[in-house]
Amino acid sequence: MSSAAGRVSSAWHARPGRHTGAGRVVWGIVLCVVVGVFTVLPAAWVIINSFNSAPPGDSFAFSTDGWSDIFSDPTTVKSIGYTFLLSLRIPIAMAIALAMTWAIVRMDLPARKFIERCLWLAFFLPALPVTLGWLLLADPDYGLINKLLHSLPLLGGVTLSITSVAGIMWVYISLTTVPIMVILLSASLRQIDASYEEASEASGASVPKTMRRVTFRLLLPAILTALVAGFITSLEVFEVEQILGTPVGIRVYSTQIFSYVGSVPPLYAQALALGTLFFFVLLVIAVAYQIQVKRAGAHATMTGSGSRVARRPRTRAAYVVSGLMLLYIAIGVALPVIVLILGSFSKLFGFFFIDSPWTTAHWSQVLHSSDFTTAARNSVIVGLGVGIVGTLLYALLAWTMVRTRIWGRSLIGVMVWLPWAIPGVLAGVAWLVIFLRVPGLSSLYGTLTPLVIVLVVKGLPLGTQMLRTSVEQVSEDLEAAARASGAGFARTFRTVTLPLISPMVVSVFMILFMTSMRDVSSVVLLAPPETRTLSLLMFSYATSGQLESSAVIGVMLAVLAMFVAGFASRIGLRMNMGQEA
Amino acid sequence: MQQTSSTITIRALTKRFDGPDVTANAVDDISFDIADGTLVTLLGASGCGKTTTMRMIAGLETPTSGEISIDGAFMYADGGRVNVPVSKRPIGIVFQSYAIWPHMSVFENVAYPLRVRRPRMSKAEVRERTEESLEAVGLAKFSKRPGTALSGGQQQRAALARALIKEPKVLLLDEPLSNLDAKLRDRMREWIREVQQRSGITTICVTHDQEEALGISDRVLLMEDGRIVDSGVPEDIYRRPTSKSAAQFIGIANHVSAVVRDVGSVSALVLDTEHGPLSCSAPAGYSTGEALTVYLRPEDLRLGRAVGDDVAWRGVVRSRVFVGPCWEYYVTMGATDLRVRLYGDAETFEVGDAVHVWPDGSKAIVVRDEEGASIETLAPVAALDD
Repeated sequence: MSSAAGRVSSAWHARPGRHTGAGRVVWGIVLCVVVGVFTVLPAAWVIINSFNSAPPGDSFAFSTDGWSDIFSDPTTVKSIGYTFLLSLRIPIAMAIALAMTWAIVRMDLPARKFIERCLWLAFFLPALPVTLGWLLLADPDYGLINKLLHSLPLLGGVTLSITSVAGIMWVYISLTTVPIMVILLSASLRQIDASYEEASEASGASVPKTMRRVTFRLLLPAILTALVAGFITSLEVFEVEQILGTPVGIRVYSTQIFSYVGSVPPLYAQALALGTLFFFVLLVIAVAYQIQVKRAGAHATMTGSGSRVARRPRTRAAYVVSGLMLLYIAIGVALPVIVLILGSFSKLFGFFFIDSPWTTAHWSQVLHSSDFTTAARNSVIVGLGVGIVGTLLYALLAWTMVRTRIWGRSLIGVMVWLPWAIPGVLAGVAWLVIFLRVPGLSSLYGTLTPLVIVLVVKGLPLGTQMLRTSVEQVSEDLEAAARASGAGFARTFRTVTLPLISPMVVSVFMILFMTSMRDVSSVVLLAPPETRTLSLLMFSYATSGQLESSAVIGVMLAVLAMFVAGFASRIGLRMNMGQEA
Repeated sequence: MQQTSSTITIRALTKRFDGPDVTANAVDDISFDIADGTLVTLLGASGCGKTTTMRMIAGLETPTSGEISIDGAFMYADGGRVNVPVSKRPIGIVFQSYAIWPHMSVFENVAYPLRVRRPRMSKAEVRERTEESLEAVGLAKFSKRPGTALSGGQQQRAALARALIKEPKVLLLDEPLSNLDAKLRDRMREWIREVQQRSGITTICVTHDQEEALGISDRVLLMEDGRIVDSGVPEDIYRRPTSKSAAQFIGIANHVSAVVRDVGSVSALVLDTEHGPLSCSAPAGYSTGEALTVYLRPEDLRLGRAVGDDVAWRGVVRSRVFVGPCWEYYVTMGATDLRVRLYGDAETFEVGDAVHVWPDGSKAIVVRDEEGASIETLAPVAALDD
């Protein structure tokens, strides 16, 4: 596919004005089909089979039972309500993220780099171990915080429960939503030349008014992207609701799908009908997003020399803001991870106050098991495979969408977002059936290939979008100059385009690597035991009651996330410095 | 300085940027006054501190120490205890990039300062004044367009309208012409000057372009390494630069090393230059044997056929360029070249011709060689080489 995309692009880029209309259409169709197979096919399969009452393997039997069931089942209806209720976290998180972004980019904050690194860490941390950590901290019965609260005389009646709507929101906001929003927004804010804001202040507008009328308006496309990204990254995780919500009756649509699929016999039609419903909700959001972004326009005019970032001088306020952020990180990220580490060394998960509670038995047991060795090897192969294949494909796709005029570019632009409209578990079901049913593909089941394909497809929306933005910032003249110097398409791409977008390429690679390492929902149904990754092993420990062993792997993944985050933020910081120079 | 009323007063203004590689102050203890209604240019090469100075006056940069006052009111003083925020200073800025907001129409851009004003201004008045202002800068018919749909020159006019609409006491122009092409630049320079004169607003312009500075200003402050090294009306700066760096920056192409051979009457000097003798004049104070540098403009040199006169400097025409109003010759004189401009019907020379170069001693500018020495300029007296 990569060479095909390459030839496509070169055909048009090499001779602008001379290409034929037919060629544009042919290559456009080829690319549409290739992208469509990986994005539209699973979606279509989900929609069609929501009307199929026959069990898998049998021939199609049309029925609307699945649809009528989900609307007559009170649990399902409630889960739809809970999903929308929980999505209120998105505007809340956006308000926090905007304030944090502005402070990080425009203020001279003490410990700013450390804060940014921690946000990357929060973004990379797998959800499952953090959720386990929060259970240890704020379980209404045995959570450490609640034991502490109950022992205080004045606050006797107060309980902070993580197994509640507010608790689930808190885990999402602190762990996934705010960090991804700040990471996306701060990259964009750095691109906006400070003189736009200075001009506003020189016009007599105060700092808050300037933020409202100039900064955030210029940021609007990025804000929309961050809103959608925050929404989606929260939806792709279902472990949080599964562990915190399901036991107390808080169900959302993804856990409801999981329970339909997991019931005996599996209720596929109901699961797929519910999935289709949200598929259309997300589709509406995606289309509205596209329209809004187009309306908001690509405002920030970016020049080759980069924009100037002005920081306000360090005042007392900077220390206060920095302190608040560090507190937020300490509570939202550090605390659950520390408790998780303690949990991995405890004899019985959650029981820290029994006699001699500590043991290293779980660590040695996990490290010596052959399951662990296999899973670790699988994780590395999948992580690297997805990272390398995905980055290269997204880069070529992004380049083609930005630089060429092939037919169907806007269609491709919509299709690359489709994987986000299908929650991980549902995509897993779709791909499982495709791999089992399509002749030729079934031999791949039981290898790591399906995992790589699914994860590459899953990363398609974010990866392509990030690289698209990056390619758009590379002046076409720079490539034209290479072409005029005699370089062919491949050479130009390798020697000019790729190096110029390399900071983004590295970021995309690391995001892909880490999301592949920690993913549970998309691959859980695709991996028989011998192709389990570390995160799947962790998930299976957790669901089979071995919470201590699950915590051991959780700690390892958290440490890995820490390394990757440290590296990512270093790359990110270097990228910023390039812009400030 | 003999201004009667000064709008801007700068005292001992210093800015030091913190950082591992910082060895000097970006702006180093400068003081000046700007008279009411004048246009003063801060001229200097990039990194000389001119933009930092302007940004401190605007309030976009916080000084390390010093005082800034506008119209008698302190904007910055007392080590920061007085520090008026940008939005409260009586200033308008035209940025180098124009900073026309792309998410607003031209009208909204220009109306912005009125709309954010407190107490609120009525919508009708905002509309009326904005339309007036757009009319004045010739953008009335573009008012509905998005800001970025304007050409460079139009964006600048919009930026100027936006800077002036709140009727500030001081207008700050940051490299106002650097993003325009040459033709447009001349027109805009004239236009800016006209607007400034008509409105009588005190204006500070920052530029690295000497032509721009000389053409637009009432006064020029020449900056180097964070200090003001020369100041005066444009003609003085051009005719009688008072320092080596000033002479170089103003673009005097030819400099010649010399030693004083003889100090004559009426402060006339006879010099031995590296190319030959030169008679010129200088204030008293030079003594025989002193080393100095002579600066000569290309138009203050003449060429003649080499005929064996030992007073003239000898050289060979290396190349020549016809630049419209004159021929420009590059004459090789030993190790260095001299640039000579011959106007009008002067005799023309071919590449390879052996020539005599006749410097006009009355126009020569003499600068002592020692570092930090006081610098003299020459009053024109009768040249000795006639």
